Amino acid sequence: MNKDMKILIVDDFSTMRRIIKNLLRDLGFNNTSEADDGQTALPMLQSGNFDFLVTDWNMPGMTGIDLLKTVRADEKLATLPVLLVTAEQKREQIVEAAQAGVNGYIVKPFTAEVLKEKIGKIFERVDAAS
Amino acid sequence: MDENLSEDYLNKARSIITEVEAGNIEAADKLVEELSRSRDQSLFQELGKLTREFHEALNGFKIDSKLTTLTGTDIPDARERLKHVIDMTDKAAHKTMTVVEDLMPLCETLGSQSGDIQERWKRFMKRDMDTKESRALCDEIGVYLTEQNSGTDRVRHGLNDILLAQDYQDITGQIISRVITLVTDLETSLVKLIRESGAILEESNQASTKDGLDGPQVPGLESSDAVSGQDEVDDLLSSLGF
Repeated sequence: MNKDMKILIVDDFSTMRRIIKNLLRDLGFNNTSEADDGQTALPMLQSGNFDFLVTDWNMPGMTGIDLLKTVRADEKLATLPVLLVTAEQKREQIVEAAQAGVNGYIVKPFTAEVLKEKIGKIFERVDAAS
Repeated sequence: MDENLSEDYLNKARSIITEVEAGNIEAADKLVEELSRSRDQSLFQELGKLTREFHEALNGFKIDSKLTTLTGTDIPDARERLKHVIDMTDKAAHKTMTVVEDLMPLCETLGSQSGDIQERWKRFMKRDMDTKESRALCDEIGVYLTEQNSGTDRVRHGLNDILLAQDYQDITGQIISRVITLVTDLETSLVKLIRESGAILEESNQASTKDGLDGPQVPGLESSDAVSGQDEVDDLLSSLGF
């Protein structure tokens, strides 16, 4: 796992973006950017060479699940690892995210350990596949 | 039609027959007229009763002017109050994080300095150090203690700021309690209105929001098809081959 990888954090609440940013920095990831919904995130992803996307689900504008689907449908972004960090915990939603091709799913509120574990797992697989 | 009225009808009808049989057509005519008048009278009475009920129902709606106040003033007011709650919690969270982000590097610096000194201190205690290095270590310890001192001051200050940033809870708690009271009042008024307008209250279990997302689960109000925490999410995902 490359600690210099470029990460985009998408959440409509600035406090949550800041928490995730700090937790990622604590894990050694310093190269982070922020967006407040899918609509803002998409052009950043398309032009920014990001290595990892961490997104909330419930946002105005474009939701996280729509962002995930758009990313998977975009030829250039299709393989981008995506972690959903959300308060949504209905079974059908988790299944929907899985079917849309999410790489990890964290429910809020979450701990630093859970974030670390999920990121570790995601890149174990990504690294094994490449 | 009440009993008195039907008895009255019956009596009058019998009298009419008696008069007709006796050949008193004029008297019979008079009785027929009386009979039709009493029928009109009962119609008027019914109409009067209906009018009174209608009037009372209208007054009932007027009593519910409480609803007008609730929707016209109290709800927009509550909206502003709740926005204020978001603002206050937002500010408190950022204030806390600013202090944490500010103090984290300080702790890291002090930690690595003390770790560095500790290594050499162990050697010094084992007399595994020449005089020149011991002197340098003493100087460094002096500098470190000064930094540690001012650093501890900054940490204490920061912790105090974090403590004070929690004062939002009192105020947001009060605001939210008032909004809960308002929602309860509104519910009572609406239920009354529905009852008065004669609609039937149907039990409904549909609780989905307009965008189909449930949002955070609330203790005691968990959705039956929601998982309860990260472990169940992981179980569900692994059952899907994750």
